[in-house]
Amino acid sequence: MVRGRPVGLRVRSAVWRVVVYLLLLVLVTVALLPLLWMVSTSLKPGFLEAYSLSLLPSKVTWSNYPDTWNRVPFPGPMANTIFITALALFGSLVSASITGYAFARLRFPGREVWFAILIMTMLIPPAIMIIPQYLLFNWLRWIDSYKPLIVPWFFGGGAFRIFLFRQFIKSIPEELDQAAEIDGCSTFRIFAQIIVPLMMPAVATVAVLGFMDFWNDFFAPFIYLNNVDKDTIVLRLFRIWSDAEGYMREELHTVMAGNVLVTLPAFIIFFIAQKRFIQGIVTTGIKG
Amino acid sequence: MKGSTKKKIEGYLFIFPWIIGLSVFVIYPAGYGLVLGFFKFDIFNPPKWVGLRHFMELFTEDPNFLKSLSVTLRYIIFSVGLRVGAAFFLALLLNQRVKALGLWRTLFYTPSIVAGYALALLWNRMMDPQYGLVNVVLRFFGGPTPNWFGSEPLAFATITVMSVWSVGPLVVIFLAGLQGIPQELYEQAEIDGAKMRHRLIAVTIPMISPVLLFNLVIGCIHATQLFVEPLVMTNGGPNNATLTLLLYLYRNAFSYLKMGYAAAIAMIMFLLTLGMTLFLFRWSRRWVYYAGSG
Repeated sequence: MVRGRPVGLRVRSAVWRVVVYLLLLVLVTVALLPLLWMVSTSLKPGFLEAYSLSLLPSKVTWSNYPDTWNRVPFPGPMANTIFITALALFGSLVSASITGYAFARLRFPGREVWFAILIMTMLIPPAIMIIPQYLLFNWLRWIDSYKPLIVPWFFGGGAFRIFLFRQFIKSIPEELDQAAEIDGCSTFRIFAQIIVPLMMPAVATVAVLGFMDFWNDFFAPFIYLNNVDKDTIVLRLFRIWSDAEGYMREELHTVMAGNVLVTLPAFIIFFIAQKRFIQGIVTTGIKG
Repeated sequence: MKGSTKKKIEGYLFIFPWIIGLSVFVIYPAGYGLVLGFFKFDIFNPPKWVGLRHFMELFTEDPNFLKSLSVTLRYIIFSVGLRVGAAFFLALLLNQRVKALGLWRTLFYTPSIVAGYALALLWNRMMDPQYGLVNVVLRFFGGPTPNWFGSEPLAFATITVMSVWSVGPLVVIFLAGLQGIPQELYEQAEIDGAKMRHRLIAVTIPMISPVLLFNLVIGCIHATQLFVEPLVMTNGGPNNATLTLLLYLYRNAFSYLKMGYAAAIAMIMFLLTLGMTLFLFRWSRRWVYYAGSG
């Protein structure tokens, strides 16, 4: 086929490929520069060195990390964040998969109406719910506790997650559960013993995306938590390094070390599970 | 049949927790949120009906609100335009049968992993007039080294432009859409003698238009909620140049305890989102092409 083409087209096509790769190379450099700067600054011996263009520290100063770790200090807020993330993630995985299973497999009157409601809730702008939710949690005496950050996720687990599970379970052949049903399996056993093992890819996807959401969440901890002892790690960094507390330029390198530390878990998970991750975005995006 | 009755009940048993959560944490707050704006409420005293007074005040006596509305609208237009444009361009590049596609996609996604507070803090320090990356580079090339958060247009531009760095999810969605376009369409167009530019207009854009609409809708809803970036980077300044609706809502609700007034702002945000979504869907009828439905 290529032989049949005029030479001119082939040359232009080779030039075109070079242009494409050059553009990609330039753009990827621009895209990654902030991250490279963050890591490089976090390893520099002091903030003054950030004045130079070089991304290579004159002396790689790993001690910035323990310094930041102790100064923030990381352990308490980190433990709080792990606690909240683990429970919220567990609650939303269990709850969203059960709900998604019902929408994918069980036939009950009004299912389509409930499903339409589910889809509509994805379009409600969160702003309208902020104050009433706060007042509700205030009335329940849940302010300054982790309950507002955890309990709601056990009741549905979020519309996007339910949707993702439903889509995935629908793609599992129904013959398997029909056979089990004929054998007298209860619906719950079919879910627990047949569907759950088969839906592990969806669990991984939802878990990876959910981890990022809960770990990085700023707004909810910011409005619901007051006591410093209850800080999530992101909230703690905000309290000590926001401009309200004074902008400490001489701490540039330690601030960036803190930033690397707080984003590290997300990076590790992203690089391990990027396939699941990207698939999750495509499923909730394209098919949504 | 006995079995089928059991099945009907079972379905509700499985979705029951969700229905509770939906009622308590979504429908009740959303409904409450739609009426609270008509009341004066400071948490400590019972709500007092004030009718449309909050809305009159917002639009006639509150320059901060008008400023935050204008900031948010401008942010939606510029940031969504830039992000969707950049993501589409990147996806087109990645769709040129490049080698190691997975690696490129991962690299372009990586900046989006830094999110929320960490992202805002990173950009705040990166724009430092003396030691920030941007001015260090500008100084090296002998360019001007402005105080990025010192002037209204620069502060607004910084927050708008930085949103392009977290464009990863949009690229992934566009790319999946592009890869779903049947190859025959391009081959047919090539046989018909269509140049690359024509293939883009006649094949790629119509086929990708539903994805484009999706990205625009989600992008606008997302941009309306901008909060942590201005809070951390500028605290809404200078002279409210980066005061977004959500940041102003937050201040009214949680700093001044004007819950009713803040709820009125939330209602404006709700109407804004609704209006944008309806507009995009209506407008899209003129350019979205749904393959298979004619």
